[in-house]
Amino acid sequence: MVALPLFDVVMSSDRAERAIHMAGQLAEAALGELRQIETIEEGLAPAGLTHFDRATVALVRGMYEQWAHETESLLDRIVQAERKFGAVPRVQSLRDALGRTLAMLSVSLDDMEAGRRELMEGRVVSGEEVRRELRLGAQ
Amino acid sequence: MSYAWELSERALAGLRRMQGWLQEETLDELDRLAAEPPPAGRQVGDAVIRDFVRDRGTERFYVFVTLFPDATAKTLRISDIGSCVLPRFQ
Repeated sequence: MVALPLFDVVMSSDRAERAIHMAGQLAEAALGELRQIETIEEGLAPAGLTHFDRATVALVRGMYEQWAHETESLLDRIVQAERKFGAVPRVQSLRDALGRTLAMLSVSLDDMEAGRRELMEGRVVSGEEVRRELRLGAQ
Repeated sequence: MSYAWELSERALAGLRRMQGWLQEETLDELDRLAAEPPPAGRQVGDAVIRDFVRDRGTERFYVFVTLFPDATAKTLRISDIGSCVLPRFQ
């Protein structure tokens, strides 16, 4: 997102077409960055439930966190651009990518590791038990 | 042939943090995934990453699930469930 300051300059002008074009390009670039992080993650992940490489997972999560932070900044600017100039392409895709990433990051590193350990140790709840328990809790 | 599914205690805790209607939607989604194995999704090691979106009012809800399909036991084993909500733009 090195182009954000440049986007601010473009936004400050009244050239709508140029601002919308640049906003769309930045949205597309952010989606491309996310795909690159996912590809890196897929290439580094070890096979097997028992293999949890905490150090690598933490580094990859840091990349996702940085991407989410920068994308929130970009979306803030794009919202302003849309108010001033009109609809920007690819924005909903970028919002959804951010939402999916934040949902993933809502699971802490400790919980990721513990969840795998619980599966290995058989500390699980079956689907039927889950439905029964949640319905009882709702009554 | 469909699979059964089961949650780790952490995944159940993630499910409990959701609103009731979203819990139901998530359980229905897990039923759908288990009905047509193996589940499609992004492959990270042996895990399959799935996410889905639901709209309600002015909000959009995102749910993230990590699955470990076990073909021998014919079971989807779910290690964690996360979620977040963002404003919905029309």
